[in-house]
Amino acid sequence: MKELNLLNSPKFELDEIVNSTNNTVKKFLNIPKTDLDDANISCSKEIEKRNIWLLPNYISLGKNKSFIDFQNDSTAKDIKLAMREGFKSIEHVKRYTTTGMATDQGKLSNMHALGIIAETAAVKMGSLGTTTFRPPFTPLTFGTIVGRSVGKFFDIVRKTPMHEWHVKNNAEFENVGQWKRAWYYPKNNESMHQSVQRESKAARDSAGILDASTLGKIDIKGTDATEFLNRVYTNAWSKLSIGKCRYGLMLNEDGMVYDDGVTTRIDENHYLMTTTTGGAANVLSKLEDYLQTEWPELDVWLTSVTDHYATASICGPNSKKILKKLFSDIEFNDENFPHMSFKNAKIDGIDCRIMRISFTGEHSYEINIEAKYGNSLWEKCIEAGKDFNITPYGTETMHLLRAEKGFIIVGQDTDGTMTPIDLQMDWIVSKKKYDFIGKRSLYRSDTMREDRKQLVGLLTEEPGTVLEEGAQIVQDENKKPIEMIGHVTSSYFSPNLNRSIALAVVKNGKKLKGQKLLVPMENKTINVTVSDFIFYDKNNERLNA
Amino acid sequence: MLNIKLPEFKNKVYPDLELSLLEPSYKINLRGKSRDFFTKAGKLLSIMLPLESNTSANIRNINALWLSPDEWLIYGKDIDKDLEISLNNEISKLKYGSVTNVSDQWVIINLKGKNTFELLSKGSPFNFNNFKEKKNVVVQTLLNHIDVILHHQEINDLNLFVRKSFSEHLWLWINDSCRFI
Repeated sequence: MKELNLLNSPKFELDEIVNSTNNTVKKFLNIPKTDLDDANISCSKEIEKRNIWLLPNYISLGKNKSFIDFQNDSTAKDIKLAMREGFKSIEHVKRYTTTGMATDQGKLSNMHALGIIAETAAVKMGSLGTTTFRPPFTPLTFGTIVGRSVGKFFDIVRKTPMHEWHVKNNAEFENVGQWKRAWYYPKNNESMHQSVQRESKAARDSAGILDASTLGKIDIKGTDATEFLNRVYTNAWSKLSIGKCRYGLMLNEDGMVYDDGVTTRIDENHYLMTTTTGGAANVLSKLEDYLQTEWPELDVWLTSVTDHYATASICGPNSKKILKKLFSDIEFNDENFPHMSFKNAKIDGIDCRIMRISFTGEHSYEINIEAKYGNSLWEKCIEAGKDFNITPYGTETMHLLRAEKGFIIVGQDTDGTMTPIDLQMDWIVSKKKYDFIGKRSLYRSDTMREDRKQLVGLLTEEPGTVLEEGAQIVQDENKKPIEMIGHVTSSYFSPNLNRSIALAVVKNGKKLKGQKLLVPMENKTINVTVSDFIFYDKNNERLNA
Repeated sequence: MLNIKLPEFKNKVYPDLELSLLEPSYKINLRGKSRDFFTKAGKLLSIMLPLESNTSANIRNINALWLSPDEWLIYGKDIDKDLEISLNNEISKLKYGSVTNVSDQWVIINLKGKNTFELLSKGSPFNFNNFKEKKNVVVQTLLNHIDVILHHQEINDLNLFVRKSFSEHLWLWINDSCRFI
């Protein structure tokens, strides 16, 4: 093994370099002594090592921010102030300044804070105490804590039972909550606009089919289920007969719209509630919370069945004929199966539920079946609808169709500041019921103000101009500062009306009907007229067509 | 005829870990708290519903998982439509509680082997130290941010319940994570 020659190893300290050079010179000149032999060289080894906790700066500390805790934004100045104010214990300094109290628990800041305290108090570091050292004791990657949330696993994906069919049929997808929902189905290189125009025209002219499996579904059972719904929704439920469905609006305690959906009375003490797709988990949580804390006396049991059922929604003037082909033993006339009712049915011997409810304003049916049959049911519906040019449509067309009818989407046309009265849905708020969630708040002076932002329709002066969702609305462009009186919540080009339509929330909107307003955009100002928010089939004649 | 479409998860074998799908399987959600509810459920299932939190009871091919003080998930090979109807008639219709078929709500994935908890620890905030030493215990936790119910029926033999819509994503995540155990 080769021996390490220490004599020839590199020297880095000043004394070592000088001595080494001196010896080499003496050897080279062959002399016994030089002046350097007596020189006293002080090198870094002899100089006291010193940590710098606070870098010196030519700007005074009062004018300069030396951040110590990068999460809580506490600075060296804060620590010195704490000490001036008499906080000596490290625990007090920590709480006064919040240094080390962020999610890193001081991993980045505590040592610097201790050093600055020690220097300021002129004591040895640590003599005023140390904070409790928290795990992780050694640095960890975030991956260790959160798991393999990387790449395609970073964002969770939920899929409906019909997802593969949508993929095979060229669907573009939209993220709704964690769900992948079919957005539109482009054909022959269609743009989104072209697809949506085709799909919505087909749904109005003949038949359309939508995968509605993502809607939240809550099974409600118990002897007090009706009373429970009376307390949860703004409208009355006591007189809803078995086999009937009803639309309900749920408020927060502050009186603002929280969620909506159709609930079906399956049996005397059994209901099936539907919620918005994005709100399903929160609604269940909220309702369970009320049952456990506010209304423990109610005999009501909730169970989530969102994933248990797949839902195919068929709408359009030919929907009845398609359903008749699928369920030949059911009479689909208005007497036997009226709008807002449901029937238990069987398809190929498999139990399912058919609800005659509509989110498009068309004659519509929703078929609920156990999820494992969902894809097969969907294919069967498509097959049965071939003669009627049944057209699968996505969420974008669904949004357009419902906007034509002035149906709201909670979360799009509402933003947590809209009461049912603001939405011009006074009809759904029962005046007779003793109580429901949010009732009291509806009678606060602020929520009763006449000039609150209210839901209205907007029609552009130029029918081909489609407003941008989120665009601000003003009444007087010359007023300084310019007053924004509302914004556009939903906006589409309707092929059925052959013009653009929009929903908006506008201050004092109810009284502005017929008035002209302005929507200033980057390059131009668009003139609009406030209109009714129902643009299509105001008398609901198509529901029973 | 309507075709049944189940998740297409093929059995996988990794070092000291086997993954398999336990579908189709019948699952029933039971809710209630009255004495009559417990009597009826006990009689029909031949099992006493577990009252201790995060535990399970099983007899022959029926498992009852504690989910909350008034909620249980029942599953197993001996659960079928007839039993659901009996439970409905004896509990729901007599107003003692609720019986809800949730067979398609959940997908069961079985994990078996010494590396079971090594894998789960990669994406769950739950501390499995005590859990993995006990049989017939249940926990409702998160795995890769997805709600799951874990039923540890035998040591290193665990049934994982995940909502159907999440199941494909979680299955892929599990298989990806298995590369690192």
